[in-house]
Amino acid sequence: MSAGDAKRILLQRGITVSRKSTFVLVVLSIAKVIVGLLSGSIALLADAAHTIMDIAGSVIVWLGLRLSLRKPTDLFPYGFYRAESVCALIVCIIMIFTGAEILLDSLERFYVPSVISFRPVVIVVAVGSGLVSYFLARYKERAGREISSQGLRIESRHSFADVLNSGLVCGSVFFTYLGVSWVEPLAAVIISAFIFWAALTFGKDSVFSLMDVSPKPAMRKAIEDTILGTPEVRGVHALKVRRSGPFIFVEAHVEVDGRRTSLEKAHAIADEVEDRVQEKFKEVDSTTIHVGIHEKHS
Amino acid sequence: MCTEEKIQLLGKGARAAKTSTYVTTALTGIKVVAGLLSGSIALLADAVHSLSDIFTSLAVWLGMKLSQRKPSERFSYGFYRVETLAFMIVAIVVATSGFQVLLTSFNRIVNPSAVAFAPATLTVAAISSLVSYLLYRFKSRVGSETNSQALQGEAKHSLIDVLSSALVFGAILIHYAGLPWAEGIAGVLIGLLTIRLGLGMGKDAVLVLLDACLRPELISQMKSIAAEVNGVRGVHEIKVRRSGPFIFAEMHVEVDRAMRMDEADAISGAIEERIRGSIGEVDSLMLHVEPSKKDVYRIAIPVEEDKGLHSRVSYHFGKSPYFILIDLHEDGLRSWLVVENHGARIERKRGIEAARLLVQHKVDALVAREVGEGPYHVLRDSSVQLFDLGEESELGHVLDAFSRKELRSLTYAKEAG
Repeated sequence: MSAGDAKRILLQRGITVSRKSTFVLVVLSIAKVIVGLLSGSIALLADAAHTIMDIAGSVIVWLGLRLSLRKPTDLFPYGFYRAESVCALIVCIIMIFTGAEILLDSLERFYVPSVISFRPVVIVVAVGSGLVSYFLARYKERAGREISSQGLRIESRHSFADVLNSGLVCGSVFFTYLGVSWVEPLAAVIISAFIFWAALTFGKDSVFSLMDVSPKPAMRKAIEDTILGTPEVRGVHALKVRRSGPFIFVEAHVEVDGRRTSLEKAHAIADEVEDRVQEKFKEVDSTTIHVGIHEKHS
Repeated sequence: MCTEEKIQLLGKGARAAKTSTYVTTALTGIKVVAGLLSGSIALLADAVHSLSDIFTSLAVWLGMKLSQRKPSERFSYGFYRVETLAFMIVAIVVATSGFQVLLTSFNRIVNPSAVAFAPATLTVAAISSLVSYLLYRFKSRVGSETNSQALQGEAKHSLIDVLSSALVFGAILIHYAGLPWAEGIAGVLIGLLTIRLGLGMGKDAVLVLLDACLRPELISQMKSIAAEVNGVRGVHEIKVRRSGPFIFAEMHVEVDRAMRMDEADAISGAIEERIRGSIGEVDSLMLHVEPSKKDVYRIAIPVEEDKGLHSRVSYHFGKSPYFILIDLHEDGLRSWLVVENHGARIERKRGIEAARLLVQHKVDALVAREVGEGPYHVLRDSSVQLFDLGEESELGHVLDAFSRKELRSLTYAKEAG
């Protein structure tokens, strides 16, 4: 199996996860619409409208991963891995809007406490939706970590925010019953803070990735050591490492001894360096090596 | 362009965006004051809209300031991309404001509003549209000088403001003409135009962020620059991407496999110098020099007759009736073919014709006794190596001498035919 196949399998797994997640969300929102219409609960219908945002996020990540699979073209010589980061950024922007909406809503409710309907059906749907979102969040987080997909991981936070929201619906019933009206808006403020935090953390990650950020310094160092550990390599400079979606591109100038060394030998050394880096770091997609002459410093 | 010049260029862009930020802030201030004094709601609403102008100018200013930072370990390609991100912010704001204009104008078609004739509103609208026009000219000029997409986008944003301010005057004319819905329609058109502009800029920004190669002509330009350097056998895998106003490129260069490191180094140095010399915006350039992948080496030798490997060698070049092309395969096998030299029968420039024939057949080396100056250059330009045949007359001996690397290299003779 070639390295390219391994990457396709990883991306394919991400696509499956995001497709399943989209499907589950669609079923969930249809269920909410039906129950909402049957019971006449406006709250449930509003919640169904919110789930449509979740579906949008899920679909965007799915599209991003699907695009990433495409082979490089003339217009996109580096391939499409970056699509994943752009999609993650879009989901972050959607989340910031959602968070802002919840925040404004809850601030209003400090003054005008909402009238909570005690319909058991709303509670049942909220609990069910919360459970489903919780499993989706776990599922996406695990897969997202495995294939280091920012899109899936931010989607997992998105689902987790839904869990909190469903919890809020149940909690508000309880607190209204007790006659405490400020707990619900306060909880909503905390939830929106969580959403902002998640969106900004992952937003920063995607923005950095779009800015050609290098992976963690430890990994950079490990790549440098791997290059230097290749026989006959005397030095390395201009090492450039950058993220592109879930993968990593490496460029380096490698120094070898001797002005009279044959190019064939130097090239064999460069090939060896590329093989070693790609062998050791599975997430490295391409390695470009320029071989130069090692100038002896006396 | 050296790093210093690049930073200066970005600094120039940042200063332009700074000026624009100050000017739009002042303009907004005037609108607020005039609005409060005259009690015109339209002016106050316009002032709120100007906030988006301040915001985008500020984003471009900060973006171009940040892009001047030196590359770090964490950002080994530098920070030029921040400029692209600022461009994306401008695009999002422009598209959103277009949407807003569209909605308000749509409302006005449904409920035509009374037009305010306040002289204050008119004066401010006139100033605002003049200032926006000057800002548009200024940012557009600096934007193309610094090759900054963000500044150019900002310039278009100002142009939209010119249109919106002009609409205030238009509204009055329309009012006199007695067409209350026309203002709304004009607003809808401006809104649609703005949305289209914003989406177009957004697409450009996203393409850059996706590492798209937006200027394919650069690839062919780099290819021909590299191919002109002597000793280059081929070029492939040229990749070009944009980061802010600059270009990152990489390319694989094939050279003769028998080269030594210092020769290969000189070639990559020459390519780099020429590319940087003719494409100023190139920042990071990665050349991967490799031995030519060709595993067949094709030698051409002029012969008197078409008798395969038993043909008699010809001492002429242009006048020789045939050439035998011998392919030396990597595994030691040899194959051959004989081509007729049609040029032998013409009177003038026979040598050039013969040389072209050989280049057409992708010959790697020519072994001949003599060659004229014209054909010599034709062959060298296509990286064909030339060897001296000497007194040898038998093909077999020539090939043996060639594989033992005993042949001397050949230069052109002044009076060769």
